[in-house]
Amino acid sequence: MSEILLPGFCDLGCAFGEPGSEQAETIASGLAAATRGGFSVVAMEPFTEPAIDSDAQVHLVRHRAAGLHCDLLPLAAATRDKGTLSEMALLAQAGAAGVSLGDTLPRSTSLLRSVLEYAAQNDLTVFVHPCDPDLAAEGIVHEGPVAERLGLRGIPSLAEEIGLGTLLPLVRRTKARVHLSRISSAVGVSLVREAKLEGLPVTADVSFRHLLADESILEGFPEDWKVFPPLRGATDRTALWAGLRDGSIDAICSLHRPVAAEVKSAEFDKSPYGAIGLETCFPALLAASQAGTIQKVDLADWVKWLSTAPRKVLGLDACDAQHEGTWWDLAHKWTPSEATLASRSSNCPEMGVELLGKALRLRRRGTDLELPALEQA
Amino acid sequence: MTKSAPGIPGSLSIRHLPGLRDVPKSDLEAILDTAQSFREALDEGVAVPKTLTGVSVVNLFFENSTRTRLSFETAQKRLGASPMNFTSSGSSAAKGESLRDTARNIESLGADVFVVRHSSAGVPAFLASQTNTVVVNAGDGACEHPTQGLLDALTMRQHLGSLEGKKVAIIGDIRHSRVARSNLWALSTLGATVRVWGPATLLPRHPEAFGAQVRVAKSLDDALEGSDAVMLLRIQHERQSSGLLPSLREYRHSFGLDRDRLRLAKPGALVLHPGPINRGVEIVSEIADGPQSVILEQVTNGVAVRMAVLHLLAGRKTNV
Repeated sequence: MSEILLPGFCDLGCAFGEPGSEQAETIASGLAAATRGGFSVVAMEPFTEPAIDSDAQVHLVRHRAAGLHCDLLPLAAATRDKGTLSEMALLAQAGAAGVSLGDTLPRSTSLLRSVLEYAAQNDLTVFVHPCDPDLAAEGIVHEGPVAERLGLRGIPSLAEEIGLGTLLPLVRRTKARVHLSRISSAVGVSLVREAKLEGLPVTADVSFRHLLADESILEGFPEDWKVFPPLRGATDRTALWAGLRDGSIDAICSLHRPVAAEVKSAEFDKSPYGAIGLETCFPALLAASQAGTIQKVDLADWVKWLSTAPRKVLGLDACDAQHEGTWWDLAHKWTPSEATLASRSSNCPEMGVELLGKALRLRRRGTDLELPALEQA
Repeated sequence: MTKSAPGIPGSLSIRHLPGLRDVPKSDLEAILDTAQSFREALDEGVAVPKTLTGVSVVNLFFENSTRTRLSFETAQKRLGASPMNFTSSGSSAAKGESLRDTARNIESLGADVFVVRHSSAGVPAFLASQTNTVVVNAGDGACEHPTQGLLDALTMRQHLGSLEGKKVAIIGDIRHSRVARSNLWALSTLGATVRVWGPATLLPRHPEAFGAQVRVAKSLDDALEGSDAVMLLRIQHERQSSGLLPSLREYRHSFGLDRDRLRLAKPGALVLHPGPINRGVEIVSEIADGPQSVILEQVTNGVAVRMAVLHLLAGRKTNV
């Protein structure tokens, strides 16, 4: 066994169930899952029940995460009840790492403009998946040949294109710092590339599942692969890799979305979006790289996309592995099961699939620690 | 009156019938041959083997249906089954029970076969993965309606012989039609070519998904010209309120089948419609009730096809 110490990963796209859906994931179980996936810091989406849209909620979430082996940086909701600006100055003071608009743009473009103006004044990054809500409405999977064959309503790539077309002129005008979460389409990548070349203050990420799979995996209605944004076509997947390699896309995220089994196991169109991913993100990418289903990637690039770049998005310094990291056995093959995962949810597409690379121990503030036992999660 | 029972071909390679997309040609032909035998037996008043005697068939209808449910029930009774009917209104499903739990509970009562209709695409495949019962799809969302596709193929085969090389036009709301999808799969597998046409808002956005034997026509005339069969689909009135159609008047003007347009097809071309018909919208009464119409034959064939499917998937072969 050859052990290697890698710097702690940083996730820009996870959601937990607490508060509101603790049966799916608590902050403790979510951070335990993050730890096992090699993450030492995660930015948590605010769309819980209730949403994290007040300084009190930010304090609560930070309190719940205190003392655990992974740092949690809460994103706060950019708006309250999708209608008014949230108290961004107070949220920032309470420790919000940014504000999030979630999976779609607001239906009101003037509200979006206000969010960007006010976030810029408060030096907060706005996190958003640039999806036009109207074009995406009622869609279930990518609008492509698979949706056509299965008779499922589609979410067109056009929704991302129109979303970026709305958002980017407002970024240009307001100078707000915007992180474009979960870019999924070829046209999305090219628009982000152009925006960066122009010098707009935008960064972007892609989920590891959009790098590993495309819409074809949805033949047969596997609900665990139902994620948002939807898995798109093969050419989109190729473009996402190209965007990652040329720096148009900065980071890879887990898109960790726990859903309780009793809710997830339903007819395909009623099954909620989401799959857990913190524990399987890096091992699934490594396995695909070794199997040749994706191009070979240097370890330095994985570290850049999973640690250095996402930390930069959050305004953190690059991680020094000697201080904060994970010991890995990169040759270890393992197969996820409910017994081997720390997450409370099991909506994991990699369940039963052989992965590569196992986290062995943590390095936390310069000291090596054993991984918490699964039953403590 | 008793004559010999219809010849029953061997078993199928498929265990369930969630759709026609993945059904091999040999299975399609076996089903159609069996259905033809049942149809002849029914026409001649010949007793058919009661191969579903003792088989517990549950009709799980989560979506409203009259003709399909009655057709399945008729088929089940003719094969000796005592069907049980489940409708979601007033059921445990209406109280919030999950589909999986509902199905597994009914399975525990001893169900051998589920005939399922649901508004969600993929439900038959889901139930097949969650239970041990044989699952027959009676319509799932906009995905498939396989027994409708089979009865359409049977009707065409009765009049046209082999479907190899035949041209079929399907006119109407292709995008949202499970009937169209099942027909596209079955007709392609059986060697026919299909041209589809309708309002741009109701046509497939990715027709390449259906393979080389299916193409979007350039116009209504292009779709109809030289067709051996013309299938009209029912236009749903809610397409107007959802912004996909300006009016039924405009639909009739641009896409409705009348005598002049039918002349573009081959002489004597068949006219099919899955029903219920919007008379004067997608088809004029003169054609619907005319000599080329096989619409009522489709309904009769529906019973024979459903008998064939149930017999081949769940029949007690020892009784044959």
